[in-house]
Amino acid sequence: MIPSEKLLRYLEDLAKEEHPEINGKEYSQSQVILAERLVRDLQKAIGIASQKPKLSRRRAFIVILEELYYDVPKYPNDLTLDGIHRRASQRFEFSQRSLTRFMTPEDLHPKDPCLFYENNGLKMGNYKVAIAHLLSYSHIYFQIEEAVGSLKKTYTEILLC
Amino acid sequence: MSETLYKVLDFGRPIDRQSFGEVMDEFKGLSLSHNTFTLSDGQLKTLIATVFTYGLHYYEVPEERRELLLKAILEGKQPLFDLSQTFARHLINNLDGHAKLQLEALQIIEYDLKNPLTNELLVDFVEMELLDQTTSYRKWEYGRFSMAYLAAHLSIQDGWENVEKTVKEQKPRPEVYLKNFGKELENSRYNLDAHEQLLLHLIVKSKLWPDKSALTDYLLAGSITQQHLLGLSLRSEKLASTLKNALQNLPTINKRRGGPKL
Repeated sequence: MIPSEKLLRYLEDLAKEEHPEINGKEYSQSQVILAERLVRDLQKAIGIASQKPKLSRRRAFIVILEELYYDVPKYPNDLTLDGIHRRASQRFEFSQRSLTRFMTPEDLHPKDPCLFYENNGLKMGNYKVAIAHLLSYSHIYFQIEEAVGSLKKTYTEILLC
Repeated sequence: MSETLYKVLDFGRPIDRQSFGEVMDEFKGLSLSHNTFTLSDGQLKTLIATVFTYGLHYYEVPEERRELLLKAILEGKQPLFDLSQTFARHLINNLDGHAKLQLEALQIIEYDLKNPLTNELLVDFVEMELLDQTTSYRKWEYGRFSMAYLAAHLSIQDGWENVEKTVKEQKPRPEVYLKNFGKELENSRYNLDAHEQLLLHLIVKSKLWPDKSALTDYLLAGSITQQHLLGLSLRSEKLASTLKNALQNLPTINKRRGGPKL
Protein backbone atom coordinates (compact mmCIF):
# COMPACT_ATOMS: atom_id res chain seq x y z
CA MET A 1 0.00 0.00 0.00
CA ILE A 2 1.26 3.44 -0.83
CA PRO A 3 0.78 5.93 1.97
CA SER A 4 -1.39 8.65 0.48
CA GLU A 5 0.93 11.44 1.56
CA LYS A 6 3.80 9.81 -0.20
CA LEU A 7 1.70 9.23 -3.26
CA LEU A 8 0.38 12.74 -3.27
CA ARG A 9 3.83 14.17 -2.87
CA TYR A 10 4.97 12.34 -5.97
CA LEU A 11 1.90 13.32 -7.91
CA GLU A 12 2.48 16.94 -6.90
CA ASP A 13 6.10 16.63 -7.96
CA LEU A 14 4.94 15.45 -11.33
CA ALA A 15 2.79 18.53 -11.62
CA LYS A 16 5.62 20.86 -10.55
CA GLU A 17 8.08 19.66 -13.14
CA GLU A 18 7.92 21.27 -16.50
CA HIS A 19 5.57 18.53 -17.37
CA PRO A 20 4.22 17.99 -20.81
CA GLU A 21 0.79 19.51 -21.15
CA ILE A 22 -1.58 18.21 -23.72
CA ASN A 23 -2.51 20.94 -26.05
CA GLY A 24 -3.88 20.85 -29.51
CA LYS A 25 -3.72 18.06 -31.95
CA GLU A 26 -0.05 17.19 -31.87
CA TYR A 27 2.61 16.21 -29.38
CA SER A 28 6.29 15.72 -29.72
CA GLN A 29 8.69 12.92 -29.10
CA SER A 30 10.57 14.97 -26.51
CA GLN A 31 7.35 15.51 -24.53
CA VAL A 32 6.86 11.75 -24.45
CA ILE A 33 10.45 11.06 -23.46
CA LEU A 34 10.31 13.57 -20.59
CA ALA A 35 7.02 12.14 -19.34
CA GLU A 36 8.43 8.63 -19.51
CA ARG A 37 11.39 9.64 -17.37
CA LEU A 38 9.14 11.22 -14.73
CA VAL A 39 6.83 8.22 -14.65
CA ARG A 40 9.73 5.79 -14.40
CA ASP A 41 11.10 7.70 -11.41
CA LEU A 42 7.70 7.70 -9.77
CA GLN A 43 7.11 4.00 -10.38
CA LYS A 44 10.48 3.23 -8.91
CA ALA A 45 9.82 5.42 -5.89
CA ILE A 46 6.50 3.83 -5.04
CA GLY A 47 7.63 0.32 -5.84
CA ILE A 48 5.54 -0.51 -8.88
CA ALA A 49 7.77 -2.96 -10.67
CA SER A 50 8.79 -2.04 -14.14
CA GLN A 51 9.31 -4.67 -16.76
CA LYS A 52 11.40 -5.42 -19.79
CA PRO A 53 10.57 -3.10 -22.68
CA LYS A 54 7.89 -4.42 -24.99
CA LEU A 55 8.86 -4.51 -28.61
CA SER A 56 7.69 -6.34 -31.70
CA ARG A 57 9.67 -9.44 -32.43
CA ARG A 58 10.88 -8.12 -35.77
CA ARG A 59 12.20 -4.89 -34.25
CA ALA A 60 13.71 -6.78 -31.30
CA PHE A 61 15.65 -8.95 -33.74
CA ILE A 62 16.93 -5.88 -35.57
CA VAL A 63 18.22 -4.42 -32.28
CA ILE A 64 20.10 -7.61 -31.38
CA LEU A 65 21.51 -8.10 -34.90
CA GLU A 66 22.70 -4.51 -35.05
CA GLU A 67 24.33 -4.68 -31.62
CA LEU A 68 26.15 -7.88 -32.45
CA TYR A 69 27.17 -7.15 -36.03
CA TYR A 70 27.17 -3.38 -36.53
CA ASP A 71 30.93 -3.41 -37.20
CA VAL A 72 31.16 -6.21 -39.74
CA PRO A 73 30.18 -5.94 -43.41
CA LYS A 74 28.50 -9.35 -43.53
CA TYR A 75 26.77 -11.76 -41.14
CA PRO A 76 28.65 -15.01 -40.39
CA ASN A 77 27.58 -17.71 -42.83
CA ASP A 78 26.35 -20.06 -40.13
CA LEU A 79 24.32 -17.45 -38.25
CA THR A 80 20.72 -18.52 -37.62
CA LEU A 81 17.86 -16.73 -35.96
CA ASP A 82 17.60 -19.18 -33.07
CA GLY A 83 20.36 -17.54 -31.06
CA ILE A 84 19.08 -14.08 -31.92
CA HIS A 85 15.60 -15.14 -30.78
CA ARG A 86 17.00 -16.27 -27.42
CA ARG A 87 18.87 -13.04 -26.82
CA ALA A 88 15.95 -10.94 -27.94
CA SER A 89 13.58 -12.68 -25.53
CA GLN A 90 15.93 -11.98 -22.65
CA ARG A 91 15.96 -8.27 -23.42
CA PHE A 92 12.44 -7.62 -24.64
CA GLU A 93 8.89 -8.74 -24.11
CA PHE A 94 7.33 -10.13 -27.27
CA SER A 95 5.10 -13.09 -27.89
CA GLN A 96 7.09 -16.28 -28.15
CA ARG A 97 6.01 -17.36 -31.58
CA SER A 98 7.87 -20.08 -33.37
CA LEU A 99 10.23 -18.92 -36.06
CA THR A 100 9.14 -18.95 -39.65
CA ARG A 101 11.13 -21.47 -41.61
CA PHE A 102 13.57 -20.06 -44.11
CA MET A 103 13.72 -16.66 -42.47
CA THR A 104 17.32 -15.52 -42.19
CA PRO A 105 19.06 -12.59 -40.49
CA GLU A 106 19.46 -11.06 -43.93
CA ASP A 107 15.66 -11.19 -44.50
CA LEU A 108 15.04 -9.32 -41.28
CA HIS A 109 17.85 -6.82 -41.28
CA PRO A 110 19.81 -6.86 -44.54
CA LYS A 111 23.34 -5.57 -44.63
CA ASP A 112 22.61 -3.76 -47.91
CA PRO A 113 18.92 -2.82 -47.65
CA CYS A 114 18.89 -0.72 -50.83
CA LEU A 115 19.91 -3.72 -52.87
CA PHE A 116 17.89 -6.23 -50.85
CA TYR A 117 14.61 -4.33 -51.20
CA GLU A 118 15.33 -2.99 -54.68
CA ASN A 119 12.21 -4.54 -56.17
CA ASN A 120 9.89 -4.45 -53.20
CA GLY A 121 8.62 -1.01 -52.31
CA LEU A 122 6.21 -2.15 -49.61
CA LYS A 123 8.83 -4.19 -47.78
CA MET A 124 11.30 -1.32 -48.00
CA GLY A 125 8.60 0.93 -46.57
CA ASN A 126 8.05 -1.47 -43.66
CA TYR A 127 11.75 -1.64 -43.02
CA LYS A 128 12.11 2.15 -42.99
CA VAL A 129 9.25 2.54 -40.51
CA ALA A 130 10.73 -0.20 -38.34
CA ILE A 131 14.12 1.51 -38.18
CA ALA A 132 12.69 5.01 -37.66
CA HIS A 133 10.84 3.86 -34.53
CA LEU A 134 13.93 2.15 -33.13
CA LEU A 135 15.97 5.31 -33.61
CA SER A 136 13.32 7.54 -32.01
CA TYR A 137 13.42 5.42 -28.85
CA SER A 138 16.99 4.17 -29.06
CA HIS A 139 17.55 5.15 -25.41
CA ILE A 140 15.07 2.46 -24.39
CA TYR A 141 15.86 -0.26 -26.87
CA PHE A 142 19.64 -0.12 -27.31
CA GLN A 143 22.47 -0.80 -24.91
CA ILE A 144 25.37 -0.22 -27.30
CA GLU A 145 25.80 3.33 -28.49
CA GLU A 146 27.90 2.41 -31.52
CA ALA A 147 25.05 0.24 -32.80
CA VAL A 148 22.73 3.27 -32.68
CA GLY A 149 25.27 5.29 -34.67
CA SER A 150 25.58 2.63 -37.32
CA LEU A 151 21.80 2.18 -37.56
CA LYS A 152 21.42 5.93 -38.05
CA LYS A 153 23.88 5.70 -40.90
CA THR A 154 21.86 2.89 -42.49
CA TYR A 155 18.69 4.93 -42.06
CA THR A 156 20.21 7.91 -43.85
CA GLU A 157 21.28 5.62 -46.66
CA ILE A 158 17.89 4.04 -47.16
CA LEU A 159 16.25 7.45 -47.30
CA LEU A 160 18.39 8.13 -50.36
CA CYS A 161 18.19 4.86 -52.26
CA MET B 1 17.11 13.06 -36.45
CA SER B 2 14.75 15.97 -36.24
CA GLU B 3 12.05 16.13 -33.60
CA THR B 4 9.21 13.75 -34.41
CA LEU B 5 5.67 15.03 -34.04
CA TYR B 6 2.69 12.74 -33.53
CA LYS B 7 -0.95 13.44 -34.26
CA VAL B 8 -3.30 12.95 -31.32
CA LEU B 9 -5.67 10.07 -32.09
CA ASP B 10 -9.06 11.04 -33.40
CA PHE B 11 -11.63 8.99 -31.48
CA GLY B 12 -14.52 10.66 -33.31
CA ARG B 13 -14.61 8.28 -36.24
CA PRO B 14 -17.12 5.44 -35.97
CA ILE B 15 -15.97 1.92 -35.14
CA ASP B 16 -17.58 -1.47 -35.50
CA ARG B 17 -18.04 -3.57 -32.35
CA GLN B 18 -18.36 -7.04 -33.84
CA SER B 19 -17.01 -9.69 -31.47
CA PHE B 20 -14.73 -12.55 -32.45
CA GLY B 21 -17.52 -15.00 -31.59
CA GLU B 22 -19.83 -13.24 -34.06
CA VAL B 23 -17.18 -13.56 -36.77
CA MET B 24 -16.87 -17.28 -36.01
CA ASP B 25 -20.65 -17.62 -36.25
CA GLU B 26 -20.54 -16.17 -39.75
CA PHE B 27 -18.29 -19.04 -40.81
CA LYS B 28 -20.40 -21.71 -39.17
CA GLY B 29 -21.65 -24.32 -41.59
CA LEU B 30 -18.98 -23.62 -44.17
CA SER B 31 -17.06 -26.57 -45.48
CA LEU B 32 -14.79 -28.04 -42.88
CA SER B 33 -12.32 -28.98 -45.57
CA HIS B 34 -11.19 -25.38 -45.43
CA ASN B 35 -9.11 -24.16 -42.52
CA THR B 36 -8.40 -20.73 -43.87
CA PHE B 37 -10.67 -18.00 -45.17
CA THR B 38 -10.43 -14.55 -46.64
CA LEU B 39 -12.17 -12.01 -44.45
CA SER B 40 -14.38 -9.01 -45.00
CA ASP B 41 -13.08 -5.63 -43.88
CA GLY B 42 -15.06 -5.84 -40.63
CA GLN B 43 -14.01 -9.42 -39.89
CA LEU B 44 -10.36 -8.58 -40.50
CA LYS B 45 -10.54 -5.65 -38.06
CA THR B 46 -12.09 -7.89 -35.44
CA LEU B 47 -9.27 -10.40 -35.86
CA ILE B 48 -6.70 -7.61 -35.63
CA ALA B 49 -8.31 -6.16 -32.48
CA THR B 50 -8.28 -9.63 -30.91
CA VAL B 51 -4.64 -10.34 -31.69
CA PHE B 52 -3.77 -6.82 -30.48
CA THR B 53 -5.44 -7.45 -27.13
CA TYR B 54 -3.62 -10.72 -26.64
CA GLY B 55 -0.31 -9.08 -27.65
CA LEU B 56 -0.76 -6.24 -25.19
CA HIS B 57 -1.71 -8.36 -22.20
CA TYR B 58 -0.34 -11.89 -22.56
CA TYR B 59 2.57 -11.29 -20.23
CA GLU B 60 0.19 -10.68 -17.35
CA VAL B 61 -0.10 -14.47 -17.06
CA PRO B 62 2.67 -17.10 -16.97
CA GLU B 63 3.47 -18.91 -20.17
CA GLU B 64 1.56 -22.08 -19.39
CA ARG B 65 -1.67 -20.12 -18.98
CA ARG B 66 -1.42 -18.02 -22.11
CA GLU B 67 -3.48 -20.35 -24.20
CA LEU B 68 -6.30 -19.96 -21.68
CA LEU B 69 -5.90 -16.21 -21.81
CA LEU B 70 -6.21 -16.26 -25.59
CA LYS B 71 -9.33 -18.38 -25.29
CA ALA B 72 -10.80 -15.94 -22.77
CA ILE B 73 -10.13 -13.05 -25.16
CA LEU B 74 -11.60 -14.90 -28.15
CA GLU B 75 -14.71 -15.81 -26.20
CA GLY B 76 -15.12 -12.38 -24.63
CA LYS B 77 -14.97 -13.88 -21.14
CA GLN B 78 -13.65 -10.80 -19.36
CA PRO B 79 -15.39 -7.46 -19.77
CA LEU B 80 -12.28 -5.28 -19.76
CA PHE B 81 -10.64 -6.94 -22.75
CA ASP B 82 -13.12 -4.83 -24.68
CA LEU B 83 -11.14 -1.76 -23.56
CA SER B 84 -8.07 -2.78 -25.56
CA GLN B 85 -10.08 -4.14 -28.46
CA THR B 86 -11.92 -0.85 -28.78
CA PHE B 87 -8.68 1.10 -28.57
CA ALA B 88 -7.24 -1.08 -31.35
CA ARG B 89 -10.21 -0.26 -33.57
CA HIS B 90 -9.61 3.44 -33.08
CA LEU B 91 -5.92 2.97 -33.85
CA ILE B 92 -6.85 1.25 -37.10
CA ASN B 93 -9.07 4.25 -37.94
CA ASN B 94 -6.06 6.50 -37.45
CA LEU B 95 -3.43 4.59 -39.45
CA ASP B 96 -1.14 6.63 -41.67
CA GLY B 97 -0.74 6.10 -45.40
CA HIS B 98 2.00 3.52 -45.21
CA ALA B 99 0.23 1.35 -42.63
CA LYS B 100 -3.04 1.64 -44.57
CA LEU B 101 -1.29 0.10 -47.58
CA GLN B 102 -0.21 -2.80 -45.42
CA LEU B 103 -3.74 -3.24 -44.13
CA GLU B 104 -4.99 -3.37 -47.71
CA ALA B 105 -2.39 -6.03 -48.50
CA LEU B 106 -3.70 -8.06 -45.55
CA GLN B 107 -7.19 -8.10 -47.04
CA ILE B 108 -6.28 -10.52 -49.80
CA ILE B 109 -4.74 -13.19 -47.57
CA GLU B 110 -6.51 -16.20 -46.08
CA TYR B 111 -6.61 -16.64 -42.30
CA ASP B 112 -6.80 -19.49 -39.85
CA LEU B 113 -9.39 -18.26 -37.39
CA LYS B 114 -9.04 -21.22 -35.07
CA ASN B 115 -5.41 -20.36 -34.44
CA PRO B 116 -5.23 -16.58 -34.72
CA LEU B 117 -1.57 -16.34 -33.67
CA THR B 118 -0.40 -18.54 -36.52
CA ASN B 119 -1.26 -15.85 -39.06
CA GLU B 120 2.29 -14.61 -39.25
CA LEU B 121 1.83 -11.58 -41.54
CA LEU B 122 -1.11 -10.32 -39.55
CA VAL B 123 0.66 -10.77 -36.21
CA ASP B 124 3.67 -8.90 -37.59
CA PHE B 125 1.43 -6.06 -38.70
CA VAL B 126 -0.27 -5.89 -35.31
CA GLU B 127 3.06 -5.85 -33.49
CA MET B 128 4.84 -3.40 -35.74
CA GLU B 129 2.07 -0.95 -36.57
CA LEU B 130 -0.22 -1.09 -33.55
CA LEU B 131 1.48 -2.56 -30.49
CA ASP B 132 4.85 -0.83 -30.76
CA GLN B 133 3.19 2.57 -30.79
CA THR B 134 0.74 1.67 -28.02
CA THR B 135 3.59 0.61 -25.74
CA SER B 136 5.69 3.70 -26.54
CA TYR B 137 4.56 7.10 -27.78
CA ARG B 138 0.84 6.33 -27.64
CA LYS B 139 0.92 4.78 -24.19
CA TRP B 140 -0.37 8.02 -22.68
CA GLU B 141 -3.21 8.09 -25.19
CA TYR B 142 -4.04 4.52 -24.26
CA GLY B 143 -3.96 5.72 -20.64
CA ARG B 144 -6.32 8.60 -21.27
CA PHE B 145 -8.68 6.31 -23.15
CA SER B 146 -8.46 3.74 -20.33
CA MET B 147 -9.31 6.30 -17.69
CA ALA B 148 -12.42 7.39 -19.57
CA TYR B 149 -13.39 3.78 -20.23
CA LEU B 150 -12.79 2.72 -16.63
CA ALA B 151 -14.67 5.68 -15.20
CA ALA B 152 -17.71 4.41 -17.10
CA HIS B 153 -17.02 0.73 -16.44
CA LEU B 154 -16.68 1.30 -12.70
CA SER B 155 -19.91 3.33 -12.71
CA ILE B 156 -18.26 6.45 -11.38
CA GLN B 157 -21.52 8.22 -12.18
CA ASP B 158 -23.15 6.56 -9.15
CA GLY B 159 -23.07 9.26 -6.55
CA TRP B 160 -20.90 11.50 -8.67
CA GLU B 161 -23.46 14.32 -8.53
CA ASN B 162 -22.81 14.56 -4.82
CA VAL B 163 -19.11 14.78 -5.41
CA GLU B 164 -19.58 17.53 -7.98
CA LYS B 165 -21.94 19.36 -5.65
CA THR B 166 -19.42 19.22 -2.81
CA VAL B 167 -16.62 20.41 -5.05
CA LYS B 168 -18.75 23.20 -6.50
CA GLU B 169 -20.04 24.45 -3.16
CA GLN B 170 -16.97 24.03 -1.02
CA LYS B 171 -14.33 24.60 -3.66
CA PRO B 172 -11.72 22.46 -1.94
CA ARG B 173 -8.16 22.81 -3.05
CA PRO B 174 -7.62 19.92 -5.46
CA GLU B 175 -4.57 18.71 -3.57
CA VAL B 176 -6.49 18.66 -0.27
CA TYR B 177 -9.41 16.82 -1.78
CA LEU B 178 -7.17 14.28 -3.48
CA LYS B 179 -5.16 13.79 -0.33
CA ASN B 180 -8.32 12.93 1.58
CA PHE B 181 -9.41 10.62 -1.18
CA GLY B 182 -5.99 8.95 -1.15
CA LYS B 183 -6.20 8.51 2.63
CA GLU B 184 -9.60 6.95 2.31
CA LEU B 185 -8.36 4.50 -0.34
CA GLU B 186 -5.57 3.49 1.99
CA ASN B 187 -8.09 2.16 4.46
CA SER B 188 -7.33 -1.51 4.87
CA ARG B 189 -10.98 -2.53 4.50
CA TYR B 190 -10.66 -1.77 0.79
CA ASN B 191 -7.61 -3.98 0.51
CA LEU B 192 -6.34 -2.41 -2.69
CA ASP B 193 -3.04 -3.04 -4.42
CA ALA B 194 -0.71 -0.09 -4.93
CA HIS B 195 -1.47 0.16 -8.63
CA GLU B 196 -5.23 0.04 -8.00
CA GLN B 197 -5.02 2.90 -5.49
CA LEU B 198 -3.01 4.92 -7.90
CA LEU B 199 -5.32 4.27 -10.82
CA LEU B 200 -8.48 5.24 -8.91
CA HIS B 201 -6.69 8.34 -7.69
CA LEU B 202 -5.78 9.33 -11.25
CA ILE B 203 -9.28 8.62 -12.56
CA VAL B 204 -10.89 10.85 -9.94
CA LYS B 205 -8.29 13.57 -10.47
CA SER B 206 -8.81 13.63 -14.22
CA LYS B 207 -12.57 13.70 -13.89
CA LEU B 208 -12.67 16.48 -11.35
CA TRP B 209 -9.77 18.58 -12.58
CA PRO B 210 -9.06 17.61 -16.17
CA ASP B 211 -6.93 20.72 -16.67
CA LYS B 212 -4.62 19.52 -13.91
CA SER B 213 -4.07 16.15 -15.54
CA ALA B 214 -0.84 16.12 -17.50
CA LEU B 215 0.64 13.75 -19.99
CA THR B 216 2.48 12.10 -17.11
CA ASP B 217 -0.80 11.20 -15.36
CA TYR B 218 -2.14 9.56 -18.49
CA LEU B 219 1.13 7.78 -19.14
CA LEU B 220 1.11 6.38 -15.63
CA ALA B 221 -2.49 5.23 -16.02
CA GLY B 222 -1.62 3.67 -19.39
CA SER B 223 1.28 1.85 -17.87
CA ILE B 224 -0.89 0.43 -15.07
CA THR B 225 -3.72 -0.61 -17.36
CA GLN B 226 -1.41 -2.26 -19.88
CA GLN B 227 0.26 -4.23 -17.12
CA HIS B 228 -2.81 -5.20 -15.11
CA LEU B 229 -5.90 -5.29 -17.34
CA LEU B 230 -6.84 -8.87 -16.55
CA GLY B 231 -6.50 -8.25 -12.80
CA LEU B 232 -8.54 -5.07 -13.06
CA SER B 233 -11.20 -6.93 -14.99
CA LEU B 234 -11.39 -9.70 -12.40
CA ARG B 235 -11.72 -7.11 -9.64
CA SER B 236 -14.10 -4.79 -11.46
CA GLU B 237 -16.95 -5.17 -8.98
CA LYS B 238 -14.67 -4.68 -6.02
CA LEU B 239 -13.10 -1.59 -7.58
CA ALA B 240 -16.50 -0.13 -8.46
CA SER B 241 -17.80 -0.53 -4.91
CA THR B 242 -14.55 0.82 -3.49
CA LEU B 243 -14.76 3.88 -5.67
CA LYS B 244 -18.35 4.49 -4.66
CA ASN B 245 -17.71 4.01 -0.96
CA ALA B 246 -14.49 5.97 -0.88
CA LEU B 247 -16.12 8.95 -2.58
CA GLN B 248 -19.10 8.78 -0.22
CA ASN B 249 -16.95 8.51 2.88
CA LEU B 250 -14.73 11.35 1.93
CA PRO B 251 -14.61 13.90 4.73
CA THR B 252 -15.88 17.18 3.38
CA ILE B 253 -13.98 20.35 3.95
CA ASN B 254 -16.72 21.60 6.29
CA LYS B 255 -16.24 18.70 8.62
CA ARG B 256 -12.59 19.50 8.79
CA ARG B 257 -13.02 23.21 9.26
CA GLY B 258 -11.19 24.38 12.32
CA GLY B 259 -9.25 21.17 12.54
CA PRO B 260 -5.56 20.83 12.05
CA LYS B 261 -4.24 22.18 8.79
CA LEU B 262 -4.17 19.42 6.24
